[in-house]
Amino acid sequence: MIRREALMGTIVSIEVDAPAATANRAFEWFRLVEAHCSRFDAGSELCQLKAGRPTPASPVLFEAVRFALMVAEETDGAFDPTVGGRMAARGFNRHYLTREVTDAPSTSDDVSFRDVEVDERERTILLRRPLTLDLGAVAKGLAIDAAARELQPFRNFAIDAGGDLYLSGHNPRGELWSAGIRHPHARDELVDRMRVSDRAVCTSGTYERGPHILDARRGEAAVGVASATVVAPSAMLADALATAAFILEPEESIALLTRMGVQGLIVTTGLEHFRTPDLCRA
Amino acid sequence: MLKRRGKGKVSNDLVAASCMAVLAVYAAGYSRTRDAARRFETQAKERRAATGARRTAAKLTPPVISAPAPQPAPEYNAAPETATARAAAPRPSVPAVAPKPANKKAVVSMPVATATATATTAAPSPLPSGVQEIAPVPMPAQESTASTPIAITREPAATSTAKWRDGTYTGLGDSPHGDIEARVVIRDGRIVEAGIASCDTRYPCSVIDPLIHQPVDRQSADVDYMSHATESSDAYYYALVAALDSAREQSPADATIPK
Repeated sequence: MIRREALMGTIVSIEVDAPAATANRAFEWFRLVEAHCSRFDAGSELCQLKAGRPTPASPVLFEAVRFALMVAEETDGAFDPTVGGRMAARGFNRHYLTREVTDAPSTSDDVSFRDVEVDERERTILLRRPLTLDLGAVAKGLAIDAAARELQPFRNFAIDAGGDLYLSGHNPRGELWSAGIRHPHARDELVDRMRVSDRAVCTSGTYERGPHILDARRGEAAVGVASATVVAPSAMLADALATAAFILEPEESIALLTRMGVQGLIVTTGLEHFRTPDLCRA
Repeated sequence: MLKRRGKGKVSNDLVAASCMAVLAVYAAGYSRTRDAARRFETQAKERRAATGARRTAAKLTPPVISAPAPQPAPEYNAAPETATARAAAPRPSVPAVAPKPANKKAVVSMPVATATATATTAAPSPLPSGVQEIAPVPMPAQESTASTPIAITREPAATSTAKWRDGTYTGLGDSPHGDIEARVVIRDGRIVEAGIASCDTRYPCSVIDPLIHQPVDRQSADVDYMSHATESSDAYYYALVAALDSAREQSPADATIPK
């Protein structure tokens, strides 16, 4: 049975043979993570962070920020959660349901993830300068992972949050799940298809929302890559790395993904394909 | 450009870190999602109970001869019917019978939390032992009885005991995008035909075609959800519940039953 809800700026659908109550709990994770991590909701915990003083954070926000900073560090800033202010300046500042515009604090163009600090012991987050964190990639992944954890006893299920997937066990026909990568220019065509199980498959691309991924290092929208897909054990990681891979040069991305022990496929705007060697294609 | 790591230091830290973060968050948020899901269940159950009662009461408004006066039907509580609540509202997965306001002994079978949902596409998958652990706690009956005259029990109303009188019956089910009228034919106390008598939903009723004959196979109103058409599935279900309620023996709505 497939159930759908509009959550976190997208349609989340869950396919699982489980009681409705269990699916509801899985959906609840999206609401919970969104309540903490949305930069579009002035009431979210994320929006309560003020520059200059360490703020105690809930486990959800703390883990999301800490992980985002780890990925930023690992990718040397190609993935940077502090692009929020600059995203807002480009018009990515409306709540997806209410269409309300969120006021983001004015942000210098040179803020980076290095202006954010987490204190592991005190569980606090410190913004050294006024900036807006954008946890989009990480937060959605985190919600998918927590929902997947919720559904784990059911073994076979699929979670789809606007094209970011977690595929567990096998599909209703008893086969590995098949995940298609949409053609960047032709809506109904696939550029590739892969077989996966117990993996998250996340794609960063411009087809749904236009150029919305900002290269923090250059301060402008990333171009060159049409779509970057990462297959990883967790959606949080897959989503963050897909974002990074969208920004990095394809060769760099492939090297990064290989070093991480995860798989990926990068399609350039010129439709050139770059794959990690172990990508399991259908 | 990327950080170079010393040879031998495989950068699997992020894989491990992400898994640990998810576990930490899951542990911290577990009770909250459980509570939220339970609240959600409560609201959904009350809403459905109220909806069922309202529909039955509406059917009773035409002349009801020599039947006890219907108790006041509970107000239809539209408040919790948000977009998200509607989308995921759970439905009884056991054969359901609409409440009968005029009869205090009426038993409404409500969603049984541990019942396995019927899937439209999925093959049955074995439920591992962990299922018990996450199965939601059954609703206390008092919560609903306090606000409505309906007795809610977790006893499934067994289909075999459902006594329907022969004839053709219709019932109405609504959805945010229009109503569906279901028609059932009862012969020898069994559902021998089920279908849509009229459909004024915004989407063609063909979207729920695969569900149409399920009442015949299942001898109950408990049709599956269709993906992409959950609201139409719901409307059809409620229409069937209303139609089957009309067909029940000893229904106080005797005088209104079409022959």
